[in-house]
Amino acid sequence: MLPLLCSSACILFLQPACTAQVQTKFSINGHVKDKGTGEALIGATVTIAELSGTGVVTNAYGFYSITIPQGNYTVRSQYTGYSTKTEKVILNQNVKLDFNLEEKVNQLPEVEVTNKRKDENVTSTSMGVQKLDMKEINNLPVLFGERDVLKTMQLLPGIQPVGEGSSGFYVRGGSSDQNLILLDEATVFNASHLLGFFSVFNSDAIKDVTVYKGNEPAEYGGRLSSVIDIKMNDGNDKRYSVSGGIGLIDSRVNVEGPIVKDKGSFSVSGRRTYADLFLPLSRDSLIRSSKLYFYDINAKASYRFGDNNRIFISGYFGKDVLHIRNFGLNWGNAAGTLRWNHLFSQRLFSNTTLIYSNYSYNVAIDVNNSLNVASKIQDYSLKQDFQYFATPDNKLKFGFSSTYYLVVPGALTSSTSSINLSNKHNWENAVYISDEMKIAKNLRTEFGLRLTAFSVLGPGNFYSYDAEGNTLDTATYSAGRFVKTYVNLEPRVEVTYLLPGNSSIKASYDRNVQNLHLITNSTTANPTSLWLPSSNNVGPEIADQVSAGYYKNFKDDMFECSAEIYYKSLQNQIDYKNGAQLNFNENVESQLLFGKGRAYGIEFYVKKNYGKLTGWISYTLSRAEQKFDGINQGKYYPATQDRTHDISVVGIYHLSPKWNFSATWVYYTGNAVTFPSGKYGVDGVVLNYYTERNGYRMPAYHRLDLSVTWIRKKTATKESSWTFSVYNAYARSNAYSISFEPDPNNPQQTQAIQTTLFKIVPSITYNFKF
Amino acid sequence: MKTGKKTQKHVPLVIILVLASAFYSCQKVINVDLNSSSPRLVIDAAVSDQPGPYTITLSQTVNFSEDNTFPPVTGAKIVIRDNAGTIDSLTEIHPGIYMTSVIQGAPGRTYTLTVNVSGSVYSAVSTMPPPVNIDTLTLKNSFNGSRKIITISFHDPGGIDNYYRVVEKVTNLYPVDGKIILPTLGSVHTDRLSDGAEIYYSPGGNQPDLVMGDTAQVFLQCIDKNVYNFFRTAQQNGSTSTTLSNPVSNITNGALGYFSAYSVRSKTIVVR
Repeated sequence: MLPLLCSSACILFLQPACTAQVQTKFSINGHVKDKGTGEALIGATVTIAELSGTGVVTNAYGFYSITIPQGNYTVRSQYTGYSTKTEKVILNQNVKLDFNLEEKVNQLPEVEVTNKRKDENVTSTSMGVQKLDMKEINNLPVLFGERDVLKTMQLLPGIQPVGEGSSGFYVRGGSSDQNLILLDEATVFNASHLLGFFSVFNSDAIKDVTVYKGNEPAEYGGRLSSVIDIKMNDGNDKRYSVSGGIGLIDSRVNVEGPIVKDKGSFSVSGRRTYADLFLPLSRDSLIRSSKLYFYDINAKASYRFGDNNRIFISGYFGKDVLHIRNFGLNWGNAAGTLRWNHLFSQRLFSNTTLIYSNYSYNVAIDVNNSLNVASKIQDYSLKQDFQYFATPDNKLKFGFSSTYYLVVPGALTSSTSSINLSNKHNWENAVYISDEMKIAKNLRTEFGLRLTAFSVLGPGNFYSYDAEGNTLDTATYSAGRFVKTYVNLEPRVEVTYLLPGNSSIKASYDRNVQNLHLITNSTTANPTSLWLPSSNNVGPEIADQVSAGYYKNFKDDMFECSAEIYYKSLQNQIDYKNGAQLNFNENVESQLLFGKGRAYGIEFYVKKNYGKLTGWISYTLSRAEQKFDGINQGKYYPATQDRTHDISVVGIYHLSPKWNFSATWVYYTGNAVTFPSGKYGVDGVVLNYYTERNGYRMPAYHRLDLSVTWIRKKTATKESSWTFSVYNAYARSNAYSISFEPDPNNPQQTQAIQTTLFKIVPSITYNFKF
Repeated sequence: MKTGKKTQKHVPLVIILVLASAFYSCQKVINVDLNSSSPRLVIDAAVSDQPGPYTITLSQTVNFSEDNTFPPVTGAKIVIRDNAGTIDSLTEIHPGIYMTSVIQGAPGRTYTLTVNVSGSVYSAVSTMPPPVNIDTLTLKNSFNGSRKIITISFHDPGGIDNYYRVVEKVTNLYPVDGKIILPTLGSVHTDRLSDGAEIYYSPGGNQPDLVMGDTAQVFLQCIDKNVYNFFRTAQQNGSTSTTLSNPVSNITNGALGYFSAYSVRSKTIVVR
């Protein structure tokens, strides 16, 4: 640890001393934006033609800064799907240089020989990172024609769907609660709509999606397996525009425009399902009185004050309503962030963020007497990030965050009584520093260090338990008292070595710590799953991951391919005792078991970036195992998310500017499941006899989806298109669940029943923009 | 936009068609290749506050593909004791079925079961809670409308933890669809969230739906915590819960099943 800290410190303090000896240097900085909309372009490159190999990438706000010796230069900015732009600069003082890049419209992604930095995947220090191209997403077939970033993400190597009817996913053998999903920096605690058939992300509102598979930079923390960083559109600061879509089960609309032209913009997107509007037409009184819908709203505004300040405010609100006769379930997320970008100097970029996030659900049952259970998790956060662009070869990031969490596990009110489970209060503080630098011509590194302190606060009763789960002792703490603080250091190192022939090898080590744990009673996370913070009984989950990879691009970056291997060791993993009582239980911590886990695998990825046919193939061979005292004789056994094989094939064929065809095919090994190995009789009833946990496999899952997009019209400002798609085109009966029940025709026998959710689902969507 | 509006007219019909086909999840019987398991002892034992004698059944597990005929375990030595000093050695009246002779269940007493099967000893302890009377039985339409379900009401004694098991015995005069009504373990309930209140409880999904002419006898058993846990986990036995496991038994030494000392009250209703 110490060498790491030292190296970071040296870079920070020795840099000015070094530069003082050489010639005078000046900075060029500014923003790279879309010319048509003013939208900041994230990850656009800015290179200096005269200094080969010198370049930087824009940050999350489209900002760049590059410091080079005095001189005359040609500065070039480029971004995939946009025309490259060059500017001549006479650098004898600090220069502010904004680029407005023009989107290529009505043009096939034909082979074009430019000096594009399409080799980002090979040259960057980041590994285990995937970026989703929002334009690519629009062309892929999806269930009910509803584009969904979370579902598309699951076609990438190492990211595996939980299963049909769930928005959850597993990253490199981690469970689905080990993924941190951020929407404009606010945590989204439950990313599913309609019990998981859709994610909460309206792709109209989304600009950029980056997935870190456990190799996240030090500014991120809090989950073991991955960070999904989703950024919303800033909005058009040039002109007003309306876009939207009419689909089979929902419609979407997006309105954006300038607040003050070139200075401020807003963007508001909303969608709502309307299947339920037709329920009253049903003859069945049960269906007539039922409710089942969701809606969500994304809103964002930004304003620039002078050259050095910009304010962003963004918010999300979504809600699901399910009501069947006398049972009702509502749930939803609300999140908001306020951000302030400030340029302290030519090289020091700062962002200050205030974050609020809330997830809540409410269950109402009205059978004989009405019963209502409400639960929520809330966080309030202050985050300060600095980016110091020391030289083109050295970028320093540092900052801190402070978050207060409130968990209301359950408040029950009925006509006769009201009972509250103890609320949980937590305070998490973190500081981080990371340095990305080029050590030699072919050697690049990124060192990072994150220090977190997670405190369990009063007020409340804190219990201790014996091995059987009986309460031994109860300690009562008053408000604000510290019950327990967990301090963890999370080092992260990545090294890239460039090889000849547009290829590289990379290696990394990362430690991640997680203090919020999702407790769920069913195989799929449902809206009523409970977030349980670390406490006097539950320690932080810790993951150590080592990974290495080989990257190579062919044919002028037309093809990129990679192979990454990883090994992950997990501590303090959580599972449940046999017959655990997890619902509305004050002593839920007594129902848990703590153990170890390990996950390892290899991921292959080949992608064709341009040409008439684009797409990718990904294959993951992996294993995920866990070990708990008291389960399977304390031996390692397959975790639910253990998937031996996982294959995704994605193809998009651009026939003409009017017609696009696409297909995706997925195959994966079935989840590890518990099936009975015998049966027995009690009171005349047949019960299943289980001999081990996760000793069996679900059948393998595979599915083909097809889609055709007909672009009726596409100009710089107007667009309209139709998308026809078929989900599960060859009607494979994939198993959603397998249950074992008595045979109604022969009471002497017990049978296995497989439930399939979707056989074949056609859909049609109309999208427009004007 | 013109095209958009035109098709919107057809959208409702399309939606209904798609939803009907899409949300129609289908079920089919499949063949699953399950492992075989070595037989394990199953004890099905209870003592109630109703007059004895009481019977206890010993059997074994079978492989999943076999018939639901569970081999009896014969020649066991079974003793039930209470904390008032009564000792009762059971007699095997049929293969695997053992009967008491002197012991009489009484609320408040603690009963200890000892089973010796060729040298292996299994034991369990259960305390009989005081009985609770059923106040009313009422009928309501079931979720799918045409059938009836029973709601039972009773007054929960305040200040103590109570655990209930509700069992329905239905005499079906007019069998529907010729379907055999399979026995169930009933359902269990706790006063965790309604201590001291009048409890209205619909066993619901765990009980057969009733039709006109059925006669249902409803039993309200007061059971102890460990027995409650057995039946609570037995209800999850075939579900998709993450903790799929054998019901938590209150018997030592790895035997399956349970030993319950319970008090019981019942009421009968005819569906009209």
